[in-house]
Amino acid sequence: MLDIDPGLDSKLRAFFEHIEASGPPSGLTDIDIGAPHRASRPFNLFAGLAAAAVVAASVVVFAVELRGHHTPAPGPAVTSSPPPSASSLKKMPLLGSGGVPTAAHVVIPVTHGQGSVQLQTFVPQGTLYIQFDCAGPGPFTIASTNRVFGNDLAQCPSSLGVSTFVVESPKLYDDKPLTFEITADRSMTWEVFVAQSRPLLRPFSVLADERVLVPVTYGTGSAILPTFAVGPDEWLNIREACNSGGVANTLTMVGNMYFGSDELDQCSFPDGATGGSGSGPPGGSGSGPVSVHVTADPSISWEILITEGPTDLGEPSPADVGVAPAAYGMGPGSLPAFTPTQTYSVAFVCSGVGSLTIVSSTFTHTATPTCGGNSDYFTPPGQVAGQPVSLSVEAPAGVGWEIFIYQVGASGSPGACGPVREAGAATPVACVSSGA
Amino acid sequence: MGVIASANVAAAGGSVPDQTFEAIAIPDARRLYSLALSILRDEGEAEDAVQETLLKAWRSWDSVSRMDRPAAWLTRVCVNHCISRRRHLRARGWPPLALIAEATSPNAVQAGDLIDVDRAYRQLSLRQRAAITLNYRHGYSVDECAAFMGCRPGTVRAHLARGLATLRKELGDA
Repeated sequence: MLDIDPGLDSKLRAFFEHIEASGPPSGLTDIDIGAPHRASRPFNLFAGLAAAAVVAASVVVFAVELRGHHTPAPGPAVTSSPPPSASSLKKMPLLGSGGVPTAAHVVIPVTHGQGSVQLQTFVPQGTLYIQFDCAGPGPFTIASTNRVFGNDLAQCPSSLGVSTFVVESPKLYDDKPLTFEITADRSMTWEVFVAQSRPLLRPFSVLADERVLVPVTYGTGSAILPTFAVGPDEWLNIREACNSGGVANTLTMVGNMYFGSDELDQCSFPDGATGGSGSGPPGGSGSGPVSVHVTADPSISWEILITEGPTDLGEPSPADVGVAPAAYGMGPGSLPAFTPTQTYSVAFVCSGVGSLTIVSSTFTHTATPTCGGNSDYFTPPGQVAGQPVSLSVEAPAGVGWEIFIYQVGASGSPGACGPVREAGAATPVACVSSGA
Repeated sequence: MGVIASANVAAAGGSVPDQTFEAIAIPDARRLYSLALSILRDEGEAEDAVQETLLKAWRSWDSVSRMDRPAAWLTRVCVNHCISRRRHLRARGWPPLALIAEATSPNAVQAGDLIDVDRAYRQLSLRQRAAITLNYRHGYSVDECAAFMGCRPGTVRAHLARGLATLRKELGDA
């Protein structure tokens, strides 16, 4: 247990008790699981899990369903149309942009067929690409026999072209062998191609308030990153991602006394892992040289970006309404003009040596004598609803900042029902506190 | 630790414990939410983290339910969800609405303290918050915290030391 002085101990205890007094949203405690395991799932749990579908030549509905998927249509449809020929299908596989990445491994080679059939069974690993084309009358369905994946096509005209679906986390659904089943009219001609690859590490982006210390670096296994130093009063920010496509799980980074160490787990997860960490300002003399050693199994692919700059302000509370997206910059600058309809506040964070001052025609607010990663907010005085506001930033060239201007909503946020008055009105009007 | 244990309480009278997802994971949502809210300091983010945790548990319940301590597994997954968010919400610049609302309450002195603590707490990194929440509030040992956070015990100690130093400095308790 921590050895904490009584003053801080009592404050922290009250703080945590306050947090724990607020119960969870009812959506978390009233989950209706329904039927037993895997037979059904609560819908809200799956809102974020839909597979990403990349369609090369048309829009196709791809459904990831968890129960009640339709039963494959039995038997061929009767039609007077002549059977289409395989020559009406497009050339497959379609690789590269809009198709299957060239680096993906083939799971089911291009397979031609007619009517309904089951394809070979496989255990999905990483990102799964399902590509198909079909020609002929009637519906065409490609779905897994366990009904975890499935898509429906009302018709399958030859003009449809090649479609490629990307399922980013197939292992998450079952981690078991998967068999795709095609259901189609016996006169329908089709082609199917299935490939898979480990999840891509998406490149990190650098915000305008950050200075790059170690650029986005990709590697596998162990390595030593380029030496860098964190400037005085700057925050250190590390972004890291990894995947192994196997059992190797941990990426470790070790630096000097200032940097300490950092670990990213769950590299073996189907989507790999993404994380971030950082350290507070090293003081007035900077961190000194930092050389980071990365230790990982050779099967682990990783991506690392190291910057200095302020930490994120984060997203506004639901009741707050931003007047514009958060602005990021370094040194002096101007913010987009806006017209408040109710009281607004300004949240900011900055890092580096020097102060940040926010100026308008009606106020000058020196945010903090020295930035050093400090964040705060203020509610400018003399606000007039309906009157455009232009803000500018005064700061030394090396000071990075993020500024977020928001109109506070209900719940008694700072400044709500405060000094806002209609333009030209002698007295304040009723405050709009709906947050809308 | 008592909160953790509550999720594993077996049925009375020596009957077979109910190891279903509904019996273990869902009743634990309140504890997980408090944990996530303590780390993230954002209700929406905390709800997302718990949903992700429950979802992952549901998918793997066959194996999770056979563990000695399913609640510990839930804790680990929840903490990982919280601390793996990139820089997110680490230093949010405005105080929580609920605390501000209480500043006008009769107990405004205490509410003011809460606001100060919350503002200082938001200066901490997510990992520092996780270390303090798990060790200080939930009573886990440094080794247990390290297991939950996926790092070495020494790293947890560093997070604790840095986090507390920041709190003392921000709150003038140094």
